[in-house]
Amino acid sequence: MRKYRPYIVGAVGGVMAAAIVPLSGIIDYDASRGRWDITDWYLGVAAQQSITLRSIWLTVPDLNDPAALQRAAGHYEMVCAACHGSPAGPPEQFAYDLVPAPPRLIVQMDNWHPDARVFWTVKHGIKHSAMPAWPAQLRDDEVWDMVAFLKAMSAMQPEEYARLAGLERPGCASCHAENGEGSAAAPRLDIQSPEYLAAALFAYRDGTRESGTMMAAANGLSDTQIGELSVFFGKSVVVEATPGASIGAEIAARGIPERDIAACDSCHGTGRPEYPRLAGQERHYLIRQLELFNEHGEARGGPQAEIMAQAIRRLPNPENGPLEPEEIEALADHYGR
Amino acid sequence: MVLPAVGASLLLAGCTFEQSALHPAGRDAQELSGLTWFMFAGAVVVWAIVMGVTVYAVLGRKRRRTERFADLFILGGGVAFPTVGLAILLVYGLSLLPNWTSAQAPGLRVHVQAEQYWWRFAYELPDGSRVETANELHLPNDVTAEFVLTSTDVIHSFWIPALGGKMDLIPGRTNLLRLTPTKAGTYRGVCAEFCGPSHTFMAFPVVVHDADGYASWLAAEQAPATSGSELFAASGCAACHTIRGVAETGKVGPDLTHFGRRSTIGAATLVNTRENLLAWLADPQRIKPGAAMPGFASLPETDRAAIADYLMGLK
Repeated sequence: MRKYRPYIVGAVGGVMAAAIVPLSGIIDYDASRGRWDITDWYLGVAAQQSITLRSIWLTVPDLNDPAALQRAAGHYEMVCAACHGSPAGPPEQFAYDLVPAPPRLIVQMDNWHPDARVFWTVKHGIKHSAMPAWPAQLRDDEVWDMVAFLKAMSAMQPEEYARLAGLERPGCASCHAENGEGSAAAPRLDIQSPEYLAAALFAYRDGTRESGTMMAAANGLSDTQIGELSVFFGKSVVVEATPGASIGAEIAARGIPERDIAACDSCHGTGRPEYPRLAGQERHYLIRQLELFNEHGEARGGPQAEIMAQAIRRLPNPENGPLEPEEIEALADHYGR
Repeated sequence: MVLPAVGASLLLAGCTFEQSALHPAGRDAQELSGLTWFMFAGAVVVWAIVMGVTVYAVLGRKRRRTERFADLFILGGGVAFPTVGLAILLVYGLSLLPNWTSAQAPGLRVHVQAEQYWWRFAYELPDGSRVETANELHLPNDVTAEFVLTSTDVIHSFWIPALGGKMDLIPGRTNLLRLTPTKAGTYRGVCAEFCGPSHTFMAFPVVVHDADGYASWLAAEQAPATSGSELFAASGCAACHTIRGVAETGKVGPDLTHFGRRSTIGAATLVNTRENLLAWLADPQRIKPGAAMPGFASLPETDRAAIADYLMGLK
């Protein structure tokens, strides 16, 4: 025992010395004096390299969809512009005093590549900085839209940015249009019932349905506001699906019985007000939602997610998406506009 | 207090003999139980001989044996006796193999399709058309029924212990099994091949009727439902479930045309009561993990109650 005594004393002393540094309060955490250049360099390189290492194996999807810019612009204006500035104006005053200072993306995006690193940064955020992670970790599709938008932003004129972000229309209308008619950026609301819209907003607000954009938008709404918005936008406008025989019409009316996929119209046709209407919906939104159910099943979230996940499930290989890409396209053609 | 109650109920459940191969109620089961008792008796004889020889060898008088005696003993006990004994068993066993591959037509044909975790039964009528039902089998007494067995997903096995042997249902092929009930009553069939988390909840009641009883059951089963329900349709139930005469699109889940006449819910998982049905509609996954039916807890309770009442009324 005696011969180990120096090591035990040394170990205990070392731990105490390490603990005394933060306990004593001598480390300077004041943002007002900024950070030493050496600390800035050290942590900055660590962050850059961490992002590079973790994004190496990502496969970048096709980012050339012009509608992606519009889908991301509204969210950029609502959440990101305050710290990073935008083509329409500089960041908020407080952003200049953040440590480390958030980059002016309109200037710096050009030296920021490849796309996979941008994706990783937007999705996961940066520790020890003000950069948060994307609130909906299931929604890689939203993050890739943002990557596409960021790439295009440095060359964007203020008018173009204002048009994409819907700056002339405040609130929901900036993406969903004046009366909820929908746009290339966001789904139609006017075809839905107030019951469905209210349930969706509640689900976004409490985080049980995932969407970075809509969680941010619904976060500040009160119960009363949700009620009013749902009644205003939920006009239950009746739209007919595309007429004529097609694969999409067949799946909608009869499902795919041999693969246990139920008929869509049984719920989405003239069903309960709690179920969403599909006929007349934006095509891109239908495809996105079907892909989310295909990939994540019930985890996609929302009050009826279990019903939808079971309606398209395929056993005994649940790891394969139940719907084929062509079937998703066909359904979007049938219901969408 | 609970444990003795459970124990007593298990004992009592054992007393009904609904699912017992030792209480045969069919021709095959009769023969199989005869074979079982014959083998059991044979095993008792062999056991007695072996034990007798062992006891004698340990406790008996020590006496020198000739080498010739030892050779004969080994040849007799180790070669001749097992050969003759097993040959008798083999001949008896082979004689029980079903001989219905012959062209003889069965009295009734039922198409059985196993799916995780329930049974689709389609009765073939004389004109070739089929009456579909699910999770409850009704058979006429003293009539040979042929079961045409298929599966849509994994391997299952169709077994009604009281009526006869079991047969696998294999995706991509069709197996045949014939059974002849010989005693009216209610029995229980099961899936006898592990098929997933709710394998144990994949069973079905089997009701064997006399000829009149069966005819009236089939006539009632053939009839379409007499009433519809707007809530049933609007809530999307019809996406998976057919109710003949009312909603005939749904082919994914069990036919519910005469649901109110069945004695169980969810392939013999629950007794068919209103209370159980309400629990099932709200959260079937809790009752039967992995079942394809989604929970409808998100719908108003009054609507679920109305749907349950409608289903219970489908006599």
